[in-house]
Amino acid sequence: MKKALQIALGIVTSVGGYLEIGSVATAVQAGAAFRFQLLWAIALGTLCLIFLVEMSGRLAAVSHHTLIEAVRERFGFPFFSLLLVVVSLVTLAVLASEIGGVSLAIQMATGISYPWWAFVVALLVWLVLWKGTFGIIENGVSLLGLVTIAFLVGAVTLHPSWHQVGAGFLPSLPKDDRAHYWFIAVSILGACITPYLFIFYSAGAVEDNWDESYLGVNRATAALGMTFGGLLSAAVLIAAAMVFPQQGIQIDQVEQIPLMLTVSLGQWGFILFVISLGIACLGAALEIALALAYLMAQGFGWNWGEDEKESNAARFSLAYTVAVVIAAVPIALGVDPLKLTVLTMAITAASLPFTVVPFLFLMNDEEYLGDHTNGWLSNGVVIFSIALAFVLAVVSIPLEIFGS
Amino acid sequence: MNLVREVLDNQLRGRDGVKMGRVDGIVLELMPGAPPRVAYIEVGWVALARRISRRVGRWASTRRRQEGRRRDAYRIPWDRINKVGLDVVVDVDAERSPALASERWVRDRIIRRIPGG
Repeated sequence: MKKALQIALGIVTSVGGYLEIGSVATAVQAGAAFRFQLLWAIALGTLCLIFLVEMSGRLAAVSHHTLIEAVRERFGFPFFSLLLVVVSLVTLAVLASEIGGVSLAIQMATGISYPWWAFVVALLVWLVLWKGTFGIIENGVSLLGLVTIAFLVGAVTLHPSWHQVGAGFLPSLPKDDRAHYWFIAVSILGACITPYLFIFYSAGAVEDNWDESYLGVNRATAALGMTFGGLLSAAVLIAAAMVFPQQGIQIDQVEQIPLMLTVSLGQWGFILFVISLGIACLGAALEIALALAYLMAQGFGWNWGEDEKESNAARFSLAYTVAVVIAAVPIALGVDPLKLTVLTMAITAASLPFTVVPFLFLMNDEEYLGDHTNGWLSNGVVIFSIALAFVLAVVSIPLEIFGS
Repeated sequence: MNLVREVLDNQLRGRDGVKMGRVDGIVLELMPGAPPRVAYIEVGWVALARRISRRVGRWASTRRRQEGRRRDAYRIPWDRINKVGLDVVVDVDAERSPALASERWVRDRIIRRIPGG
């Protein structure tokens, strides 16, 4: 019974925590430009994500070591230092995008432009991290995040042709604009398979004191939670595909995006859109700021933990404080959050080899996993993900130039 | 024992279990006519810098001498190691050791000055 409750909670957490500015922005662009044709990218990214999230949870539950700790221990400092630099920069950019997302939501609600809100949002994020516990962040914020189900309601009430939606799950090429098509495909994958998720999830398993008895919970949470999350992304894409091409709108103005819900849900659609965007990005910002602090603290062996008193984990607390302040700067200076997001998702894709390759070695290491090392299926998915990661790393920068 | 696999980069804990960094370096002692002996483990950023490249290591070492430090890194003699595993436990009072000097600095100078810290 207790386990069933935990699975339910885990799923709620992943659903509420799945959508963020990256998945929303890339799905909206995909739907507006190519209708349902890029749904396959969301499905593919979600499938890889399910397996990789399950692995990072299993590693933590069995070994009580997080992904980052294991990477430093097994791959040594030189590799870790590279990963630290690349993943920190990419993740800081994602954090800036999320702070921009919350600021945009407040702009839509108040009419006061987003740069003014950047440091207000940063202060809010910091206050929750400073005063809150891991449970509050994990459960409280993601419970609020369930409001993002509005996108699912929005998509269904627009009555899409389910036959065409289904066809979108089979990859096909558009007649023209192929560079843009592939650029968005890469950005969707970058938004799905994002490093902070693994860092956050495996640290969370240790914060919640998981052991081997949680392997079932872990599997169910990863599979069901990420599937429902992917479904929400797909709903955003479908709603955008139903509304924007028909109205002949190219997405370049932020104010147009809430149309995807107002067409079917009216005034409530606008309110739900603003709340969904704000909460989804706020939740993500909390997780990402923590992920950055986990990365530093675990890599260097400092004491860490969101439930620790700040003075017991001083460098850890300093790390998220500095991260939040730095990430607010570009938004306060007026960098366009949507442009930043799309750019960031592509560079996330470029950084994937650093985060995905270690899985293959760690998840087959008996010293960490005992009897719970990867089977053939998981190893197959990891090898596929590594191949995908290298392809994305090579193509993302040229596509950025020609397709964005 | 495989020093690189089982000791280097592992989590370091004091005798009371407090996390005090990672094993950033291992120092071997070479004496004529005797096999090499593990003398110390090292904790500190100069030891880390040396592992990136010799030049970075030399630069870090010079910087540290300029700060007036005698040694490049905090050294713990091998015979003070109590346990080797995924965590390496040493017979040291972590709270007072130089390995946590920066943690104490951040705690006293920054975190405690912020309300609630």
